[in-house]
Amino acid sequence: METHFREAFKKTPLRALAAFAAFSFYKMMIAPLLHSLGGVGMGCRYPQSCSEYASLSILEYGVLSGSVRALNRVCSCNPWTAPKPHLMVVQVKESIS
Amino acid sequence: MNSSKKNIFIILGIIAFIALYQYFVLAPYQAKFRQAPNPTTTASSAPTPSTTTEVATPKAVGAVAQESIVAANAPVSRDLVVSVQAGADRSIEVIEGAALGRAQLNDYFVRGASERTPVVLNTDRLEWSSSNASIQQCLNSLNKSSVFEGSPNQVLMKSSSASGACEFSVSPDPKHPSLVNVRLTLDGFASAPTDIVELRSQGKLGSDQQADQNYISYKFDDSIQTIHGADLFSKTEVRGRMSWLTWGDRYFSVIFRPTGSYTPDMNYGSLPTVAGIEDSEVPVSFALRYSAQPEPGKTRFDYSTDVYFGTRDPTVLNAIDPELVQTVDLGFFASVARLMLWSLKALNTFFHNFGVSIIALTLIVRALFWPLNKKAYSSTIAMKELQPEMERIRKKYDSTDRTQAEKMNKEVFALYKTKKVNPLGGCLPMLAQLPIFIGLYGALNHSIDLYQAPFFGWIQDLSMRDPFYILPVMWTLSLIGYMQINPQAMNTGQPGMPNMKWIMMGMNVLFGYLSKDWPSGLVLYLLVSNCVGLLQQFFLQRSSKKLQLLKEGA
Repeated sequence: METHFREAFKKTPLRALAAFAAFSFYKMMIAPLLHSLGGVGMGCRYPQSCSEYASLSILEYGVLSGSVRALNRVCSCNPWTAPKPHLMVVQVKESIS
Repeated sequence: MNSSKKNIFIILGIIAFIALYQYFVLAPYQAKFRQAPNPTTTASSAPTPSTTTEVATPKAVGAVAQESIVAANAPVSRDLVVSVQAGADRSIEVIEGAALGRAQLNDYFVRGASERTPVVLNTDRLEWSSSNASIQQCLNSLNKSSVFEGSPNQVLMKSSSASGACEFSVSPDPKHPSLVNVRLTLDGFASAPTDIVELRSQGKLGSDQQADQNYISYKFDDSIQTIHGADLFSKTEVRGRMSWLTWGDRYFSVIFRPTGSYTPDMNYGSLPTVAGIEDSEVPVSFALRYSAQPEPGKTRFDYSTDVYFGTRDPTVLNAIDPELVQTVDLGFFASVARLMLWSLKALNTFFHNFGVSIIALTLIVRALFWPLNKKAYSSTIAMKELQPEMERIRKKYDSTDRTQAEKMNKEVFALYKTKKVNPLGGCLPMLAQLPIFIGLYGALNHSIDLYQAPFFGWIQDLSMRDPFYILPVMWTLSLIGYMQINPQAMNTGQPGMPNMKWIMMGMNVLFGYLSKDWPSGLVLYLLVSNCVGLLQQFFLQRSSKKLQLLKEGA
């Protein structure tokens, strides 16, 4: 991600900053405690974790659209909803990943 | 820059962050409570005896109230009349001049003290005073020689002069310990319409070593107000029908509940630092203010209020008056805290040790979530097996094209569906356990039931932080261990994502640092929960390996 974010910071610094904030806030402040409480095997049903998805989709689609996508994904993450096909992965552009 | 250098920088950065946070955020915040702010008015600096502080000239009641706060002064030493017993372990002092002294709770001890010191609630000095000179004179003359009827169970003091007679009584409630009725009767005084009679307190607020946990709360006209933190330093005046007023810390409180036909107004404000009040305590003055004007056609009138001094225990308060349960504040997530407290108490009837009860609670929670854990783990393994296929799909599509990306997502989804990955998974089961943590935090931080609840060895108080930081260190280590072996928690190695290993480890250390001030019971819960998680992980890994061996053998 380092190169990915570095590239993004050069192009759209604000967007990249928002993406990085979304990512690091969850990953650093909430995830350790939540996983410690959650127990073995608990966690993501999607191939990408929501924090990663959120940060990458903000980079890809912009702050507003990306946040909505991320929120939609978090809300779909429960036992009563099937995983949504359009929310599986954000593909990172090959040239910078 | 190579990666090991960068990792060192990250760790140094986190340590620097902790240091800066401690220095710039925590230290000033704590210092604010260590030191009472300087008075903004100069009127308070004159050390006048309390008997003459009331203004002689009649003023509007509101104006008098402001003056009476500002004019609060250093306590004048007066003699103890008698110590009234209110229940087996509770006693409250009655002092000359219609005042109450220290209230002592012999069955609770000050935390962190080297010796067993009984908790003393500062009703210091809760005294009646009046703006009317002749009433004040009569109140001052209530001393040892005026005791009409005095015993450890009841005190009645009478005094009379040419202008009128006053009577002061303190009588413990026979049914409820820690509850006394304080009554002042005035007879025959000629008073102006603006004259007031006050039950006034000038003392520190609470005895908690965490001064920011002290608060005043009151119910006037059916609305409850709670004032804590820095707001306590501002002056307030409240008028209306008073139901109750309480002040104190999280565990012990003094509650006033007017019982007579007169309902008082209330005002409170902070005091300048006076001799005898330690730096760490919040000196606060407040007064219940009554009109000194009797009802038309009457010369005799009495002010009566119940004073409760004791623990913030809902069951005790409920027995006195169900409304007083509202004075118990279990924090922001009170309902969850109440539920956790209830289950802890239920478990404690079997174990008689709250530490063991917390461990039992943890085991029960872990056992309840075990089937889910097992399923989630197997789907994690399945996901890992799908990883190469995922990569293949990702490479197949051109990511710069949005329509292509959608197609890719569909294919990934189809792959998931055929392999039936994670049908039950998701973060909801994980989030479901968050209220347990929050509830425990609230209960351990606010409930008198867990005050000085011992576990064993060095942990003599589960509601206080670990004095030697053994549990937080153990928890941090277990957290790091857990992160190392739990593939879900790490979730690294995704394309476009950095290797978070070092940052995560730094974050674990940061969490460990934060947990140093958490109640040790909470850290105990987290530690046991994590250790059980580690054991479960080992068990599942072993069984899945066996399964794989069986598959390969077949």
